[in-house]
Amino acid sequence: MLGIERFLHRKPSALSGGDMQRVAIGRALVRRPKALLMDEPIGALDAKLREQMRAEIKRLHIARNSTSVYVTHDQIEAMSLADRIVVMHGGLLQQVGPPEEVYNRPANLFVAQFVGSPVMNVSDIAVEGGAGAAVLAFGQGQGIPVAGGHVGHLSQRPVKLGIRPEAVILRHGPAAGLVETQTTNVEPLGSHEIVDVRLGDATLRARVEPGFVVDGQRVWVGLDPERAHFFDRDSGLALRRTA
Amino acid sequence: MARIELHGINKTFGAQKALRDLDLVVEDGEFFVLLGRTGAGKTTALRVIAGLEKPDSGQVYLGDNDVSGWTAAERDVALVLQQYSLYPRLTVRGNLEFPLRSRIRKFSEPEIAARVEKAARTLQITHLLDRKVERLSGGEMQRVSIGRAIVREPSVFLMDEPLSALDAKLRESLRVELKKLHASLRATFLFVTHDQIEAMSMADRIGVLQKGRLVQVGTPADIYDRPLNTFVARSVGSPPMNLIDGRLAGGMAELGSFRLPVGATGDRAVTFGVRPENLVLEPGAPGEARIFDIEDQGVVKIVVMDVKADGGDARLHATVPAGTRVTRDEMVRFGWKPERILTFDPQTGANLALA
Repeated sequence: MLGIERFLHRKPSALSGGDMQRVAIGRALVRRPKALLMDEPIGALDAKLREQMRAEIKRLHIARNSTSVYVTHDQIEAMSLADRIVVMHGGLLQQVGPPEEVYNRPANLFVAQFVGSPVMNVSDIAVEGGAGAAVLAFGQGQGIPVAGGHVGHLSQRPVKLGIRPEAVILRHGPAAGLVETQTTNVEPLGSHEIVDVRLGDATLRARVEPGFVVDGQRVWVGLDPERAHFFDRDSGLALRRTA
Repeated sequence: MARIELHGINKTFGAQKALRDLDLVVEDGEFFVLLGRTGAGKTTALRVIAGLEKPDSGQVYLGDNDVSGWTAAERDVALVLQQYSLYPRLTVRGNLEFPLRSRIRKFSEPEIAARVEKAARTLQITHLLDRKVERLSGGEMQRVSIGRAIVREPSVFLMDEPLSALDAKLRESLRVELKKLHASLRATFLFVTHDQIEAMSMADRIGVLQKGRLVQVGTPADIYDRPLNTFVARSVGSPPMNLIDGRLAGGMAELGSFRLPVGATGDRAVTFGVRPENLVLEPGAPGEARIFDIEDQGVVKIVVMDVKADGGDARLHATVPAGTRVTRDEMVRFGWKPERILTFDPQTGANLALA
């Protein structure tokens, strides 16, 4: 099951890091336990091996039809492995849910900024305007207009806006709902790029296709209101529209 | 300001060769990242430049000077380490002043005060100047460590994984800050790391180090899109580039039971290299695979799938849109972006397009 038959007669010291960890998992499995508890089992391995072992651990869990509790500080492991994630912080449970829910509907600011890379953009904003159309003001007179329905429940209270880099919209030219600004940093990561833009007092990070812009270029920025999150500035709790 | 040159550096520790005939040129004012795994020789290279390690053979130049015989103190370089080397009992100001109060360098009090203020402003730690170091967060401590390096205004900064001990959020913001710092100081930065994201996001040029040898030097785009061999190809990108053995014939990749178009020409056995974002799941496409696992990373999904290919079964990683719906053990069809496929020699791993 673990692909270690050919090592059975070898000394552990003659094994690679990944194979050693496979043997360690094997030691736990031979007892046929009712539940498997794992404490950062692949944290010490290098990046490539970690990616490979992630999928193996998940398949093992499924093949054995077992109950597994896996502890990690690595949000990618949590997102990749879990049926459900429990996010802990300071001894307190912050949120329990499937990866998709933790990512898309975080219960509070801590959870929002714990999962996802780069981390979710968070900035203090003021919601100006009423039911029809509103502006998310970022300070220094700069703001992004959104349809009032998205933020009508928020006006007149101190809030933070949370927006993931993939929900920040960058364009080369003006369009409705976009504001002119300039890029202040570009991180070329190969498969995509992370671009920083200034908006009022905030710096927003956006995820774009490779080669979309260069540093210092004029761009127009907006955000996808469907994927905007709002948090109470004091408690950090997510503020949702009531349906 | 100075450029760094290494000529034919060899360094052995006992039976282990740490550096083998290392030639390296870091241009004046460049942000150069040495990327390598644990044990590749990154730290040794840095220590040789700093004068903390004497090579068995080879020369070190800083600017126009052969500094091979110079001591560390004479070399005018600053070293920033992963472990902050700060005096916990001193204030931030005390720590920043310390390097300026050494007996070799004679700075006047106003000069010291001015340099500390300037460094603190650059790193945005002015409000922390009178705080004890032991009361700072990890990110603040690392900023003070960098501050200790910049007050001396050296022409060369050597940084050994300075972000590795920090949490993800802080690493992201310090990456941006270091790049800004480099732009404002216009000094030469040599940064070593095992983290490909740090290398890609900050470097003007990356040098990929493998077992003490420099395998390739290039811009992040060179390293990502035009790797010299499979080792370099798999040292950047996450998940790493997929490698599939097959045959190149008539502009097609023959992979056992199916064929996919490629941009390359020739007729020979080839290892095809395809990055996860260049694999495409689509009904009716030629490739067939069984889904092994799906990793939901929020912004995208990583689909892990098994393919029967000529060279044996291959496990491929594909990056697909977050909204993609597939299930474990499902059979799927896939293709790829033909113009993005690389071809490598199956024996040597060399990129055939660059050979």
